[in-house]
Amino acid sequence: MNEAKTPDTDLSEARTQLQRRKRYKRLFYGILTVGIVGYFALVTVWNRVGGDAIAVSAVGVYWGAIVLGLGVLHFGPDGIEDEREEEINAEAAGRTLGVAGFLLILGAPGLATLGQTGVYTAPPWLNGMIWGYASLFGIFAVAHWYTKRQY
Amino acid sequence: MQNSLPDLRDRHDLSQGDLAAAVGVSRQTINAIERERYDPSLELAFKLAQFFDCYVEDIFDPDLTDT
Repeated sequence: MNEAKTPDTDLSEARTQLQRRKRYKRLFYGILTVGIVGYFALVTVWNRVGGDAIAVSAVGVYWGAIVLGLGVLHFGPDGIEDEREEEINAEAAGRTLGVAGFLLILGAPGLATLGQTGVYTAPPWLNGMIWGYASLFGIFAVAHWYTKRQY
Repeated sequence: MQNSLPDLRDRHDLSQGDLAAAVGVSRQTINAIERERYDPSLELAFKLAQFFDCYVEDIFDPDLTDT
């Protein structure tokens, strides 16, 4: 085993690149946070005060943040997260899907049966949630098919 | 996966941050590999081997006896 290959100058450049990626990552999540918090803040104001301008501003702040965030991803360094962070994201997404699947498998037949027998009528939000989870699995099936074709 | 990254870093007087920068990952990723909480991709394993000018198996010991 010999000396590590990268000289100090390269290491310094590598550090700078890593710092740059960190900055862009902070910037990306910062912009998204501002967009989401700004949206809810303005919607809260709109609920109390009213006024179309405030409602439109809320959507504008949110969409603006999305566009800026995409700009950061596009013009920033290649990938703002490394492989471990991407694996964490994938694992968390898998767990989220697992929870949604568990709730869907348990909840959908139960709610349908209770609704049909008139024992319990689910409120619209609960039906919406179940349909949302079902749609999520529809999207998952398409994404799975697409991804599988790439391997 | 068992690995000799901490020894190699010490030998070359490198911090986790230095090594992370050299191979293009975060310091936390190097830390997770050293603590055997994360197995690197083949690409990263080869980058590490290239950086230390050694073979991948000089750094990582998969301990295949369990499998």
